[in-house]
Amino acid sequence: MESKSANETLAFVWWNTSLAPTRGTPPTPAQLDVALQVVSTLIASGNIDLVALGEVSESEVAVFRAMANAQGYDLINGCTAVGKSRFDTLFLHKTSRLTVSAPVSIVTEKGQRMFRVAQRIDVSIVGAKRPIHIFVSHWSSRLSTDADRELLGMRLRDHVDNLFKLYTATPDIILLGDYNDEPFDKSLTDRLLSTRDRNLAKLKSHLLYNPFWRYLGAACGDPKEQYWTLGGTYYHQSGDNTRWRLFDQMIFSTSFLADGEWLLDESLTKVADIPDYSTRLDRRSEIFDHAPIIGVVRRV
Amino acid sequence: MADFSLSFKKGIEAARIAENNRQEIRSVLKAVNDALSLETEGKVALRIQVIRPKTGNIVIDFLQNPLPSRTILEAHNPQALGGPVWELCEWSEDPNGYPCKIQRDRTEFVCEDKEALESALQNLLEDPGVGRRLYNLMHIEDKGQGSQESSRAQERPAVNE
Repeated sequence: MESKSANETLAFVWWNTSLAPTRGTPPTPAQLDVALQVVSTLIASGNIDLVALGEVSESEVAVFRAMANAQGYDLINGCTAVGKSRFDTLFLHKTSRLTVSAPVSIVTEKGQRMFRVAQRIDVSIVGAKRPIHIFVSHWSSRLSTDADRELLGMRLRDHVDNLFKLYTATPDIILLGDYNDEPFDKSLTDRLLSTRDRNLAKLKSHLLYNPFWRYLGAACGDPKEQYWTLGGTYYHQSGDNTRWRLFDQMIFSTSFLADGEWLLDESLTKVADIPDYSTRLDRRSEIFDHAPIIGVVRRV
Repeated sequence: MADFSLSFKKGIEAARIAENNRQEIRSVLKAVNDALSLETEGKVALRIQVIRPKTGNIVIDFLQNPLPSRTILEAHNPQALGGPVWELCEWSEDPNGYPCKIQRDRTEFVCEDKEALESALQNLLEDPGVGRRLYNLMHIEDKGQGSQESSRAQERPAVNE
């Protein structure tokens, strides 16, 4: 059992792997190798405790399980068909530190359409007093209407509210995934009640804090330089006025800002810029179009 | 000056809509039961039940059971009084009627309207585990189970990898 210490951290990764999009061909062995290398790099270099992967299929489960087991991780298969829809998620977690529940899949149906809201997992950490409740989402593409997208935010918020009712203090909740919406979209602001305003969130504990607002756009750089740089998490080469979107985010309950067991480490919570991978996003020959994101919390 | 008349009218209208929604949900369940009755000669029906788990302490259970109640959709055989009942899913309705939620086997369906509810119930009936339970209910008499004391059984949730 690992001992508690002030510098003890928990690190989470979300990555839309693009390996198994809804309508697409299976990945080639070379593409699968790239994905495995990305996950291995993240695990090895970031002391990561839980990795949630999106757009994977049953075909990739065995390969990721073998890789995970070899590095002291267990794999939970979240790939499941739900009615007309399908969840395409895998969860890798460090077995020495975490116990993770089987995922509960949440869908909302309106008329004949079904939308994936999230999968919820409950994470117990060795030495911690409370579990962390994590909602992993991969929302439908932006071809759906604004009303439908706001509905996704509402239904996700319903589940956040249900957890609030179970606790006397603010529960530990992390929401992460590919929302196909950006931090300023109404689904995440008006419906999910997430904010960029850390100080306001500390005053209004029902709000959720979204540290990924700061990654709207590239980091400061020299305009004269020609190097390619990350400017979000999703890259669309044919974009008219922008090729970058910030669709992948991690959002935190305010217990991670004050008064909880863990504090959000914003300096380490970021879009992951992985050598030999990030520049692939700019190649038309590649299937990869999402950068991974990392969230880190530190024990108080 | 606040328009209390307008607020009152809005409240009345909201209550009317909510009642219509609740009646619509009941009509969907009735349609399911009508179909089941036709197909099973009246041997299978679904109903909503509020379940309060027992603590095991007779006094506490009688006076004030602190455990939260659950609302479920269960299947029973109306022709086999005292026969087994099977919990098919957890059930909840918003005070406004919709959304209503069906949770089973680590999956939650949030139904925003009548069509969605119908789809979710179809999905439930098409589940092989549910089909097996309903089949067993149809054939209670064949298996000589009609005189059994009523028992509430719940399917084991699907094991995830």
